[in-house]
Amino acid sequence: MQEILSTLPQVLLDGLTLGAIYAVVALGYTMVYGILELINFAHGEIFMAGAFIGTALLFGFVDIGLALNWVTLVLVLIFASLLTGVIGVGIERVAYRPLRTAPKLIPLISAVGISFILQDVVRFVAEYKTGNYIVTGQTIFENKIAIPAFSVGGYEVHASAIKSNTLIVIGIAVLIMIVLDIFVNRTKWGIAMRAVAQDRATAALMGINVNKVISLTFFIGSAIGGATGVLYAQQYATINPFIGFILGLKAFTAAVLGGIGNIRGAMFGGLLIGLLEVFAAANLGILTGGALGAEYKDVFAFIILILVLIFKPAGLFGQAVKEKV
Amino acid sequence: MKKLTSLFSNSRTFQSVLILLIVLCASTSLYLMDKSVTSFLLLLCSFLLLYYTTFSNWIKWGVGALIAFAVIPVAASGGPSQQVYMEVAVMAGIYIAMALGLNIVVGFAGLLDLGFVAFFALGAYVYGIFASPQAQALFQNSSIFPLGGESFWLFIIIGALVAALFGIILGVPVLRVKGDYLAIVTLGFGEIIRIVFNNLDKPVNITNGALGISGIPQPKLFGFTFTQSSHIYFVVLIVLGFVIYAVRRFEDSKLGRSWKAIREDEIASQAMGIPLVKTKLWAFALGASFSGMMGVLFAAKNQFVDPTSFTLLESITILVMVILGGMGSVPGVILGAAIISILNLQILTEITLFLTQNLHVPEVFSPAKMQRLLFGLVLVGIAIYRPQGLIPAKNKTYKIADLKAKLTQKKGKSKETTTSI
Amino acid sequence: MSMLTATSITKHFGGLTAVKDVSINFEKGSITAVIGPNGAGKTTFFNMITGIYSPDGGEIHLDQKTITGLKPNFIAEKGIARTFQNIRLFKEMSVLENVMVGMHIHLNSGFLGTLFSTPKVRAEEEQARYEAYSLLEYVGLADWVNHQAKNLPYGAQRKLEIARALATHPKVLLLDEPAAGMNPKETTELTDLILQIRDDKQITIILIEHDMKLVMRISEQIYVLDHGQLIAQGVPEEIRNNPNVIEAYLGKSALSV
Ligand SMILES: Nc1ncnc2c1ncn2[C@@H]1O[C@H](COP(=O)(O)OP(=O)(O)O)[C@@H](O)[C@H]1O
Ligand SMILES: [Mg+2]
Repeated sequence: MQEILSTLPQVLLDGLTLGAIYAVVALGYTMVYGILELINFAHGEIFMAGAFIGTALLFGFVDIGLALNWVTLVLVLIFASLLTGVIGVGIERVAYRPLRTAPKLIPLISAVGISFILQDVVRFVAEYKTGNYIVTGQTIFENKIAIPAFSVGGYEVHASAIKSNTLIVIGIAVLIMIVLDIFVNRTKWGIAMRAVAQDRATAALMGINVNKVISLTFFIGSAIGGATGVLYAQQYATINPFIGFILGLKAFTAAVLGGIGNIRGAMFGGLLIGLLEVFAAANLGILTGGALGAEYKDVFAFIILILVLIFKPAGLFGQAVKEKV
Repeated sequence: MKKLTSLFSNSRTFQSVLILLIVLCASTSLYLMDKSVTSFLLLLCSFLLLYYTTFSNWIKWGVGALIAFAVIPVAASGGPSQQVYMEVAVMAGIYIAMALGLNIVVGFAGLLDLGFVAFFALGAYVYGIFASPQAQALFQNSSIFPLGGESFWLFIIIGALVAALFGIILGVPVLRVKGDYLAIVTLGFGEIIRIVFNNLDKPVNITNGALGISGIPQPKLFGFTFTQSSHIYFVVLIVLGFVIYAVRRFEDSKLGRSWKAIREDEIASQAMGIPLVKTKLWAFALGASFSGMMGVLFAAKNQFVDPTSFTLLESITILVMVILGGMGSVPGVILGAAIISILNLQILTEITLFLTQNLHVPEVFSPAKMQRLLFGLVLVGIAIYRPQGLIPAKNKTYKIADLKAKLTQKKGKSKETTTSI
Repeated sequence: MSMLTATSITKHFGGLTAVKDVSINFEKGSITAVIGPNGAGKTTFFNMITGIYSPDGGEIHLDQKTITGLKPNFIAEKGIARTFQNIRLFKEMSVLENVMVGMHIHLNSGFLGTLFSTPKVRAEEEQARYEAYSLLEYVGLADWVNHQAKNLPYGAQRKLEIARALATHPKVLLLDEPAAGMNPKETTELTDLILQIRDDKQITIILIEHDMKLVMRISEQIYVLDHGQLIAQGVPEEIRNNPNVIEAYLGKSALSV
């Protein structure tokens, strides 16, 4: 108990950071699922591509002698999200749109295929350029802010530290979520998006250009996924073409947890999964007396997924919907 | 070209001559030359050709068995370097059987399983642990371990049962959820199994962790040890033969029809009295059991297992085989699995070797590394342009005349006994 | 004697009450029509009887035994079969196989029997094939045996759904808009078929239908739903002249004109 409590501040901070990343990636899954009922397996890879694009850009900036500061970060974020947004729209056009009336299995297979293609293309480029597909990039904000040790109620709490980058990750993630929430609920296009999600045929009858709305959904989802990739690379420095796969799975878990299609739910689910995972990684060893260690943290996330699907398939807040017969 | 195909489909003499010619040419050149990928492939193509002949099924199976059991092993016995071909044939056989298992789940029952390799891993580890010195370490005060190579035959069945059991354990909760979530859950399950095997060296050393289990005995029968790939080849053929037989039986049975019905429409199936979860569980368990069996074979052949053989890439590889060949089509899946495994094991490596050694192309361009790209392209391409695959699934056709004749005969009878339908 | 009874069954979808407090008794061997404007709750009523939705309130009895809330496959086993308003055939399967799926509950082949293809299993399969074929002949689809269900003309697909439902050997047959999309000739054939089914097999038939000519010709009793509620019931003559029914279909203004 003492041990768990003493590391709690660090665990909470790390969990929040990871959770913020899951939350934003989960948004992409949830938006696409809401509108197409398709698990966009490639979304994790879009995130990964964003991380690589951001890293490549920063290398480029260094090459031409630009100083790395918050201006460059903003530039990189904008550029990477535009590019991943376009990739997302392209994927939808090429690999999903022709399959809209096909049996449900077929677009899923196409999505798995796209995700493999992206992984390998990025791997190839990275390996071609750097000789290795594992890349360690430039981090802009490295200084740490220390939180001193203190004690509550007789319990000793260890000192913890946050990278200033952590604050940036959390800040930008929260900003993205707020802007998206406003967009979806208040703007004309956002409302069109919700209309298409609810009933595509009727929305079309009301004069909404369904294809445009779907493209827009993919653009936004992918753009914020890509931006999150940039933040991830900043936070954890080392990236590889396969980071999107497991992370995507967990983000999807977050989306299901929050009720798939539910944007605010996805944010909540992401934070929860992030916190749980970091907590498990830090404390599984302690809780199981050393039998299981941090290497089981991914297992932990999957078990949550399975439990949620069994007991609360509509998510923590959702209501079960039945297919119309 | 059109003339040629019509000639082929119309003349049995032409069919026989062509196949005979191909088999003869390919096998002699394979035998005489030290290494000839082309003749090996040509030899395998004779199976495909055989499938398209118009002979009766009995003849097709007979000739196919003759080529598989006699011609190929003899042709590939010309020199030590030709063990490579036997090795490829063994792996192709293992993959074909697994793809047929996955085809039950994905092709017949319409359930997307992205973690299928987990069952393969289970089979491999079950044999690996109990037949190797690993078990001795595990049960220190027991003298029956390690079980050794004689137990292999029993373990083929045990591997199938254990995999089926896990299929059911996973399926009972998961098959209740909506269809497309299943893909993600199985994906997770595949990863869990791999992570668990990777870490089960503590607190008790069960799987020896990332180091893997070595010293797994080769199959033994009446004192004979199956040491070479060319020995294992016959074991694989027999197991594969059984798998094909079983799949064929189930395809046109009460159970097979229920799988397909569920794939087409769950609600209508239920309204016809089909229990959803139970029927899906059968698909899951049966598919898994094939995979488990092949896992045992794989462990015995390699004499070694470690978690790196059971990654997501493997699961997707098997899926690609099914999708490429044609979901729900047994001949299609066999073809798809053969193409992909030979591509993986033989052709890609040959091309890579050629490029890097002869043309000095940098290693980063080697096609052997681009499996993911290749598989991805196959998946997307098939999904968009040919979702039914290379050899589309066919429904069994019934002879209307027979049905009619039998019916009138029955009607005549039923007038006397007054039992009507 | 009553075959099927619904006792004040209710179904909500969120805020919407699709079926409210409906009680109907269906006599054995009768043909009954359930009519009402679109969205009245007719299909939902069928869905509750067949277990696809479980009612939020009320009871359903088949042959005096409760079937409320049972799963659809158990209800099919107990003897209720149906067709669907928006055709739900097994599209990629052949016409004969569609009917053979309907026989599912009457086939006993087990796992091992199938694997080893025992004589018993072979005989059962053969028997199932002939029965399926005879049902296809019965509904007039004998020429389509090997076609994929999705390639059948629309009217034939509706008939195939009926054949598939009959294959379960039902006591009660529910037909959800069986004549929808049929031309007059097909509708006449269908009318004869429904009557024939009842007479040959003593099956209790309940149908939802908008074609009033068909409804008036074959139903012994008619029930009218509107906004989830039962607003009228009676023999065809009574329903034809019931002002409530005319109002439900045509709106209030229709009466004053
Ligand atoms: N699964 C469902 N979820 C939500 N609403 C439903 C569902 N099924 C039916 N409804 C609604 O219930 C009402 C009655 O529908 P239905 O029974 O199909 O009418 P009918 O068959 O008489 O045309 C309609 O308003 C319909 O939209
Ligand atoms: Mg209706």
